[in-house]
Amino acid sequence: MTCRIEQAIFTSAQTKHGDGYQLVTASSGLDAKEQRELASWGPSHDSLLSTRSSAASVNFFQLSSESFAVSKTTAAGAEYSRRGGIQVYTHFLLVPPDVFALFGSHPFAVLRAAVAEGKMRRQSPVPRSLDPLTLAGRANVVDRTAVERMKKQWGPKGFSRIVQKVLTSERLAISGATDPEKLFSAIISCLPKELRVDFSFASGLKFSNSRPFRVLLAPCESDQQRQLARRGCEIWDLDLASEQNPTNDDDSQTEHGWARFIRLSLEYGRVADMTKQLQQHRPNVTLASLDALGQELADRIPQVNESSPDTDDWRDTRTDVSVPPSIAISHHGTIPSMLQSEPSVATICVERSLKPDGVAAISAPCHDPHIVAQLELLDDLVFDAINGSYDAMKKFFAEWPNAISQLGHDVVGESRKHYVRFALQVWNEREADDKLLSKRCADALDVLCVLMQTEG
Amino acid sequence: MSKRATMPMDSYRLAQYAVQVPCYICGEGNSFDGEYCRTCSAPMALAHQSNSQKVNPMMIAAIGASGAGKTVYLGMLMDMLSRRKSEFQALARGAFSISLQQNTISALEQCRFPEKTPSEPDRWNWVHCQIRSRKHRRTAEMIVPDMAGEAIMEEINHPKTYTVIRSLLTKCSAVMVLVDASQIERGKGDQDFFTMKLLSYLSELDDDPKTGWCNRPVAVLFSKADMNADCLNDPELYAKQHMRGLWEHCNERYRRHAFFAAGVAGACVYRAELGVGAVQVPLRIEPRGVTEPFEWIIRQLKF
Repeated sequence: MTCRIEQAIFTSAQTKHGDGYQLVTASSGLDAKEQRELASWGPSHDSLLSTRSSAASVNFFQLSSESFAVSKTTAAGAEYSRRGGIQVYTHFLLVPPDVFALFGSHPFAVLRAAVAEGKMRRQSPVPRSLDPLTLAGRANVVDRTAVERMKKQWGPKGFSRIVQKVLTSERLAISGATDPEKLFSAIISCLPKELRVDFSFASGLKFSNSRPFRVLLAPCESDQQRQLARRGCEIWDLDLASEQNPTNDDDSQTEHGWARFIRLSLEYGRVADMTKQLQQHRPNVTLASLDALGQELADRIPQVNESSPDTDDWRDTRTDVSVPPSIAISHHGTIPSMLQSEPSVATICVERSLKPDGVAAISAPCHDPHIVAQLELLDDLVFDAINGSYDAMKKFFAEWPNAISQLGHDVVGESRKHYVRFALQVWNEREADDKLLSKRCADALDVLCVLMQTEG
Repeated sequence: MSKRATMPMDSYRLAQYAVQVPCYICGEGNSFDGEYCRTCSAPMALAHQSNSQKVNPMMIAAIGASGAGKTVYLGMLMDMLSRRKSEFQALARGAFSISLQQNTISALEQCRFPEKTPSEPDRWNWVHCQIRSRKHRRTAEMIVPDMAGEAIMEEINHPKTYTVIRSLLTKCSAVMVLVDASQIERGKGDQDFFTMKLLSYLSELDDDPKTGWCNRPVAVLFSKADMNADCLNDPELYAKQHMRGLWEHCNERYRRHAFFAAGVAGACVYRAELGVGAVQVPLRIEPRGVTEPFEWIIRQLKF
């Protein structure tokens, strides 16, 4: 089923209407009021928290027309006016409510689908007109990868504290997040889909009264955090969520019912059940009633650990007919034909999960969670390394040969193809007349070298 | 010995929130401890200062397209008025009023221009200062914001997008319209059209024949005029020759208007910066014609 999504680009450019940051182009379905709202929300000069050339932010909010704006803001090199500073480029997707529901009411799912279709590439020069997007596919309400990763990083109790904090704060700025996009995706995944619209967020933008996001990332500098606090935003350090934090020993008295439900689901390996509950249609649920609902659902969770919870639940979720699996169909194809013709494919469950920038990973035989985990680790390392993480690059150099020796070329071969494709995509996005190679391109080249050296 | 004591109730602290403080720019109510107006994002310090002094500061707007030079001009103007001995002197009210001057002069000292002004109103620099004259005893309070050109353009093209701009321009006592002279030299006619749009917008904001914009001082300032001797020598003739539409528009609609030319950087070159590309930088600082438009406006306001 294809869905029509309007789009617009907000950046700094010279147009017939004027120079500077403006809504440069928009598809025909956007009316004047929506365009004006997008222009108000559009981040202008120096709006990104990070000053790196790979800085990015995924943003989500609802317009007055009830459409949802899912956008990605990136640093886009030099600005035309030559006054210094990085050009901030924002690509908006306006998703109607019915289409949003198809993608599990999950902004990251919409974005992944658009990235997989190659629709989110930065365009230079910006075209004078845009056609509406047509996206194929559907998505699950829960981003399992993000939830599992946050569970691993913070523990069930720690992560449930994060969810609780988001639920109970009027406006929250989170500090100490190492992977903001994964964190925000996991948080959204753990909210009822009917209430997700109330939680606008930006994973990498500075706060402004023009962009009153409910959840955002806090700046690193303490003076800017104080300024943010004076504007009515609560600053919360993720270290406070840590299970090792001694002040968190006994907070069962004040635990929010929904947070308790999330905690118990993660503790006892009931993520599949949690997903099914989140998929249920609850039109009357409100933030006020969420506490009681969460308590009720938490009381129903049998407090017995599942023997092999993750993989079996994942398979159950994937094969449930009433709940389509998390798939964003890429124009590059679905299951590789080489695997379809293999006699042993019958025992292999293959699912493609897509990273925010289109890095696709083919999961290994679903009965081996270690292989799944190892391939997912490689996906994250490649993505983070190309986006500038020095630690991720070092780990990737070490992990890649290990993965080949442990898993074999057959298992990692498909992943290698997608890593090469992604790295080449980044390389090809460099400016044609840019004599100075950007760091992102250089990192992509390093990753390519490693992949090519160890080709089987 | 009495054991009684008077303690303020904790709940009394909330009573202060019941009293709304109107924003000085848009007039909307805000809580007493708000830093920025929740409607227009203007700093609430302006309201608090005007309340404490029991004086209504006059507002002067510096408007122009993106890249016209508003930040550099205003920063240099404030620096010259505060440091140099001239007919008028400016004394800043509040630490926030120094930010514009500080950012501009610091950047110029480092051989670069200040960065682009963001479009978000809560990130603009506002100046609230007291103007003193050598010739008169009385003083005047003045507010001058450094607004982003894109926001001004957006407000002109889509009125009521930026409440702060609309409210400010409605209440302003005078306006300085900056036009990039270097763009005119390159033959780009956009400046002419944009400036005419600006002035049309102003006249529509308040068309009262007595109190409207037709009677308020409008200073049209050609910025970046350092390399243009014709412009510096006779700005009005330059406008008549190169921006005829604007010149006619001013003569038709604005009784109190004047043309000026100013420059801050003596010459500019481009420098390559890693990851950013070519960036324009000033070779030297040579302010010319900076204070004249301001002094004209102050005299027009009969200060």
